[in-house]
Amino acid sequence: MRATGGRDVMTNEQAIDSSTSEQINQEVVLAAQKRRLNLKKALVVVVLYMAAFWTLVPMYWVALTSVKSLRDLAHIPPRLFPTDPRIDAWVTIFERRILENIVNSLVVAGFATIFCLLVAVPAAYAATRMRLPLRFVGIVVALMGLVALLPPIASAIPLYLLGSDLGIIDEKYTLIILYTVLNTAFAVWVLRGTFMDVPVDVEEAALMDGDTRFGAVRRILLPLIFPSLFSIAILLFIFNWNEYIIALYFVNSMSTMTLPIAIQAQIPQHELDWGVVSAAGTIAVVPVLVAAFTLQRFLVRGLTFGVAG
Amino acid sequence: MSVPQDISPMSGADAHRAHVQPPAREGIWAEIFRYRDNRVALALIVPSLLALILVQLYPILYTGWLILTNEKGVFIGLANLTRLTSDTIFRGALIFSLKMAIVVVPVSLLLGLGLALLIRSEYAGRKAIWISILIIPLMVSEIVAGTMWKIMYHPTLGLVNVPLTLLGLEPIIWLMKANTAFIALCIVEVWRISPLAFLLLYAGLNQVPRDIYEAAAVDGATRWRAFWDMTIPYIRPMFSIATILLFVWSTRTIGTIAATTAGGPGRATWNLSWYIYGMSFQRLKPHYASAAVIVMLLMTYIAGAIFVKYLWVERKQR
Amino acid sequence: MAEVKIVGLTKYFGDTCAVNHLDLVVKDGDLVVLLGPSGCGKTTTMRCVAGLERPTYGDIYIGERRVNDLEPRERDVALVFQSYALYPHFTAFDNIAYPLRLRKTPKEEINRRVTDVAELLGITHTLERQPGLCSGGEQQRIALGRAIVREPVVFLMDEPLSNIDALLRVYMRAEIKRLQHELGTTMIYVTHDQVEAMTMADMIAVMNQGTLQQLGTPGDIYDVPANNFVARFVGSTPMNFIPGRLRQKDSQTVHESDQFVIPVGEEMAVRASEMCPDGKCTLGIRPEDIRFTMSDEGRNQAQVFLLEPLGSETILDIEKEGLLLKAKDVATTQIRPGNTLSLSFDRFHLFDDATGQAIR
Repeated sequence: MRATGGRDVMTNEQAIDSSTSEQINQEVVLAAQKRRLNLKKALVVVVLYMAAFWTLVPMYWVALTSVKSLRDLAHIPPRLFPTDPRIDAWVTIFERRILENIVNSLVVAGFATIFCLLVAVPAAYAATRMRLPLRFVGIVVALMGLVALLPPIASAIPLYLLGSDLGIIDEKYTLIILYTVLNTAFAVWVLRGTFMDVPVDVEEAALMDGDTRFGAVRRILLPLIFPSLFSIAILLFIFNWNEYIIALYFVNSMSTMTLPIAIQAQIPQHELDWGVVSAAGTIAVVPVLVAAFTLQRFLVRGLTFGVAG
Repeated sequence: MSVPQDISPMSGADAHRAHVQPPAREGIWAEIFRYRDNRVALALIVPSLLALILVQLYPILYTGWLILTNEKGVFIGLANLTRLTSDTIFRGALIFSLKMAIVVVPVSLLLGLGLALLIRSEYAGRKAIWISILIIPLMVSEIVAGTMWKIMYHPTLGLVNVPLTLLGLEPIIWLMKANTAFIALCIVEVWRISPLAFLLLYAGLNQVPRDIYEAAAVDGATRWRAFWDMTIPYIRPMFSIATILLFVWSTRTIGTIAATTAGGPGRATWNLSWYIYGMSFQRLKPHYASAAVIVMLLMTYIAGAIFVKYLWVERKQR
Repeated sequence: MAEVKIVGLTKYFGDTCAVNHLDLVVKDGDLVVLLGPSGCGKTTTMRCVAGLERPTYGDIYIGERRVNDLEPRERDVALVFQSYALYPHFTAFDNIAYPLRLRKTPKEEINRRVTDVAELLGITHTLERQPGLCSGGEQQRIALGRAIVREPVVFLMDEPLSNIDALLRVYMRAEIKRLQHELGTTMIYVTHDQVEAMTMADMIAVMNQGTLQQLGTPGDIYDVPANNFVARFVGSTPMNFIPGRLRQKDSQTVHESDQFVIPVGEEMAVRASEMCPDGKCTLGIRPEDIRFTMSDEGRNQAQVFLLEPLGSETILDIEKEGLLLKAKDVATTQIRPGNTLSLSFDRFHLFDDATGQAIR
């Protein structure tokens, strides 16, 4: 009896022993794995921080330059942080009527965006939802894709000559018309992808339930695609806000001058003006920052569908 | 053992089909105009087609006419084009554009691919924020990007020279010498357009189904192996599209040059766009500049044709 | 309430023929199932009736009206989609009320009718929710409710049960049949599931490659298939096919294959000699029609190689010289793999190999 009992205890102890050592082994392996994971994660995060630094540093530098005092501007090597922030440059830029340029840009970009959507949404709807011959739709869509590639400078000369003949150079409405048509192809292309993303079933159900085509679009399709539509509008707005080449040809006076042209005009003649152009640049970048955060989800999705769809 | 259902002759079922002829092929316009809702659809597309004609067809035709005439409107045949072939400024600009594309496109693609892979890895938390930050340069206007980097490169105000001075080296006056100006511009362009490569390739990577990696892992493939065998084939179409778009973008840049070097020193940083702008607007020779436009259009559309071909292949696979 | 008449319907997509000269009459109050494999044209047919596709040729009548040129909303038919196609941004209540609102129904009446329908379908508790928050079965019933509430003259159902789980499907198909019966509304029901078709239909229209193969009651379709396609497609344990030829033997016509010699009845033999002069035909027999005894004697012997017990019955997999047959036996069968059976074939069909048509 005793002996048996003792043997039992022995085996139990052995069992405990081996199981704990196994456990320890496992823990060691797990810990090693975890360390490796942490190391990898740290590496990835460090590289991403470097990328973010590389992306953001010019913007920081411009914003910084715009608030540096004259003494800081003259300091060598340049200071990485402002020691004595001033708003002189910002005062100057508003004295140079940058506000008018901002308003011009807002008006031109805003109207052109709205008009562009008014032209492109029906076209994208017809191309994806109505029973046009497939060959026809294919040709139109391919053409739109090609035009989206067209460098604006290639259209600039003929359009400029046309504009001079018609006497509509240096007018805001000319810029609005041109920005509208220049972006139409791109807008149709992207909207088409967005529309294809919404199942046709739901609209067909609305037709079956007794709705008209227009009613189905208004009550069913538009509410469903509104987020994408909003994103595309912002994207178009940014394109127009940034547009430079056409403006270069078509802007002659302060009354039409958009922000990019105004910024170029501020590039200094003498060294002390750097703060002013920096302030102008900072103003131009603000909407871009807002847009980037609004748009990222849509862009990733939209490209997946729009380009490959 | 063979299953008898397969070998039994079932194909007879449709042998007696009452055959109805397919509708006669009619012209595309006849087909469109026959039905009311097709006419409505056409009416919806027409405004954008008009826009297409205004920015595409009209300028191309007009450009075609411009290059055949001189500034006085006299027909001169192909003289503008032949003059272009011996124009050293034009040749310099063309070479500069291509040289820049050769540097900028591969660097941007590699950078974009690397970042796309990093963001897609499970180690990158808060992907939305990283993506938002990384795509910002894409939405900064050329002129603003140029201005920013002009300040960055500035000999006394700029940040770029700070590390050099810290190391005790002479600061480089980047934009004043031809060689350094080229490098400087390439850096600006990579900053500006590599986010496009990133965005496209990230979208491409998102299309790769995750379970094929699990399948590959079960089959014993290493991560490296899986990358080559699974990821690369999946994103190849997107990679080609990205290459072409980056090429087109990098050759059409003008604002960055306008803001940084304005073509200088001398004419060292003239690219095609800048040449066209300078010729047409500053020297007022739009007819001659149109010849360069034709060269640029050709470059774009050869790239565009490849673009369309890839989209076509993609569509067929679905 | 109306009859649906489809006359010579043909639909081409480009050069592809989706529906080929289809004639079909759905009698008032009937439930007709369009049955066929995917791509057979059944959905296209239904979409032509709905007005979502334009027929290339042919006419569609609902009641006395030719509806070819009418918009979907002018046809007064309701369609339940395979995907349900609920409006994701509306609540279930608004989904069901939508068709009534479009018809400018007074508000109190909308409330009353939607509540009634919801009660009828047992979805009252979901009415305030958006479809995304409802289960598959609930979504299905919301879609049904949206179709029922406006009391259309014809119901169209496009595989409405294919996205819900098996148990609920069995329940819902009885439910839909009961509803249709109570409302007395004509219904065209599209499915590729032959069990659904058999259990629900007053009449089944079997389609393949855009062509109507057979129109008949579920009993006819099962017992008297018009051709080998219908025979193969209908039946949950598929019909057995034995390729061979007819010949005279001892003054009797027999179907002779590599494996079996099966006597053919006199009447059928006469018809066969008319319809199929070269004698090449395939014999088809349902698993339950194969009779067998455990014995080593008799002409047609074969060996059991696998049992598939289903609980209520057992499928015997029988093999002879490369030919696989399935037969049915009771659940408590004594037969074991390896046993040799003597088979006899009494009720069977013959299909002409050249045309696939049944000989009868």
